[in-house]
Amino acid sequence: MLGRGLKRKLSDYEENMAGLSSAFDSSRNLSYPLKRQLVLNMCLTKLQTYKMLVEPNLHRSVLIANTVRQIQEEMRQESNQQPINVCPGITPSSHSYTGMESSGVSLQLPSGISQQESNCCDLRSVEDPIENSLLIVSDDDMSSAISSILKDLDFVEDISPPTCLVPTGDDQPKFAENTGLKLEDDRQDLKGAECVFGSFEISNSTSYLKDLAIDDIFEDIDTSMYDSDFCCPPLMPPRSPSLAAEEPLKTFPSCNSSSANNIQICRTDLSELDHIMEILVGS
Amino acid sequence: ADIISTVEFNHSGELLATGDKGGRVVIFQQEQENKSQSHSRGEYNVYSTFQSHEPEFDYLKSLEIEEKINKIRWLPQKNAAQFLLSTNDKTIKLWKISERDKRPEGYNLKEEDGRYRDPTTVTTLRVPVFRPMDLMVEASPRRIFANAHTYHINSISINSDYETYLSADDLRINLWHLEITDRSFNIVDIKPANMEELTEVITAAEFHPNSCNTFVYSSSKGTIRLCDMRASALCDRHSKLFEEPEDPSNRSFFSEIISSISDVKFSHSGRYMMTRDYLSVKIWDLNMENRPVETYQVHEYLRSKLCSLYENDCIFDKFECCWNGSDRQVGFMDIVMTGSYNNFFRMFDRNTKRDITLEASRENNKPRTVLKPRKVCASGKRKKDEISVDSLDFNKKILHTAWHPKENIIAVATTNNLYIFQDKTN
Repeated sequence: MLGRGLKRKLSDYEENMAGLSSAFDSSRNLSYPLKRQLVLNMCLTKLQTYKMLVEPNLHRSVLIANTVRQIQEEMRQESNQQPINVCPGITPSSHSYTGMESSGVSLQLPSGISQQESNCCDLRSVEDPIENSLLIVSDDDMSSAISSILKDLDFVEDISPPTCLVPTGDDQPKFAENTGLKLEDDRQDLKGAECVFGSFEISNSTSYLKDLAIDDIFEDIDTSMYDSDFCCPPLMPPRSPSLAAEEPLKTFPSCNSSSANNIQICRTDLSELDHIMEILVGS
Repeated sequence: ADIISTVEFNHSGELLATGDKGGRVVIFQQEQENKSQSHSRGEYNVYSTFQSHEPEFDYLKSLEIEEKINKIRWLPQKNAAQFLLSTNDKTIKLWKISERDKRPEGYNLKEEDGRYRDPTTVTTLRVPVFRPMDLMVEASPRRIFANAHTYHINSISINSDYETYLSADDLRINLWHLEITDRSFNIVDIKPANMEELTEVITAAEFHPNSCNTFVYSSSKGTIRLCDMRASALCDRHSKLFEEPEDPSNRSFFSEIISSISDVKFSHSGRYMMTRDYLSVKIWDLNMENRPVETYQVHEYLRSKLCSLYENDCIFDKFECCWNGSDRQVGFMDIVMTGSYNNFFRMFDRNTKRDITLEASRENNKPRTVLKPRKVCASGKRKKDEISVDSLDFNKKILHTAWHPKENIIAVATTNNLYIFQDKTN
């Protein structure tokens, strides 16, 4: 008999998932709430995996986040009609599927939560192994999971501006005449702050960086956070909800505690970096 | 690295370009028709191969930029050279492909191999002449359009004015002039002020084939927006919104995911447009926004497998679709084509409402034999020659197909191979 807390190999996990999803598809033994829970867990697992990636796929993340929201909304409506006992404090990141195990739930849990969680799960019928393997996740945790993922995408993606409308006298009006376009200056103002990067052609001139000692350039930037050991297996050891929100921020250099501050700090660092680059490029 | 990621015929159909995951472009050229061999049109042979994009590293964000070619679009031919636009996730390049079949010979100061001659040995002067040489096809990058996209580019589309083109990423669409590389105009921006509010992304965009001020873009929520650039510089307000109300009987957890549109293509006349979502192809009349005029089921038997397909990520596969060529040789044809799994591809005849499933596979089809129609058995007893849903290979997907603009020749890309089929001529 497998004891509690036994770590399962990823391949076993995948097999179990495949078993669950084909059970879903053939509509065997699964009630609607269970199907819903299964889909929800799959969504959260995927989102968690994407969070691990340096560059998550925005399209997929949005689709999955929407699915989670939809399920969340449905569950919320149901619970408004009928109060259901929901176990709080379990984050989406804490899971390992037992599949068809009937010996109970084997999970990796932080010590503080395990008692609460196992109590909660004992309320459910022990006979149904699939039920036992699905966790109940609270609303708040789901919302914070989605928010943190989407916020990460913003931070990762949008450091450099998408466009830069540069009014240059002669060329512009001529072009505007030809196509009938009207330039909107206020749009440019919004992006003005970010346009500091606009003239800096990164992709064409990355080669010169290979010749320089990169460490020297970044010496004055605080990379203590970046040095921390961030190597997590796909099934992460669970953390309490408050830590889970902070985690994605840890992966970026020069990032400290909370959101808006971070971006300010990082933008300052980046503008310093930009200044250094300008000197190096001699532009 | 050999995974084919895009396929496109040029405007005459003489050239066929493919892009792959390794950033390479391979162009095939159709042989000139042999008058004596009227039973088959020219075959396609490799004409040119070049490395269009290299992997790049964005040092500021610590991200690797993939070299995979997402789209290729040809420009109409204006002179002896051919031009195409190819794009990866971040950078669009204009390539010139030109032929060289002559070279100058008889220089006075240089030997044939390039070494310089001792001037004192030159006793007579001659004029260099052009002599024929083996055909050499050269590709050179003429323009590089970079640094305008924060997110991944999914579409490029050349305007009917042949001067401008658009590029679309997940949240923005930019308008470029082919001659100008250091700036672009942002014409669509759906990024919310707060990324947490993001619920929809742009999945494809295309210019109208005739109206140079009109373009459409599709979204992950199954909607298509038509925009008119004359209305305002930033086309955040659409002129038309095409959306079909959801069928409540088909509702599932995956409804939104499978409604995401993976491709949008205007018909040659510009009167209709076709969209591809996960399970179907829809034809829309530009004059009617509330529902498509026709819907064709590509692989409805997958509807009961959505959870498994979600689990293995196949549900996110982006299938493309295409119309048949505009110059129809035999009768009035109106056929659309799209790919599926197990190396199957499907064609729907809009006139007869008939459809056919064919397979692109060397094992099951000998060259120069007529393709046998396939059938998938959704449930129940499987007939002979039918394939059951459970034995479909979901790793063998046909995402990219193209139709010759004038003839009944189609190009079908499996994961690693390109197949070219033509209709049977007697």
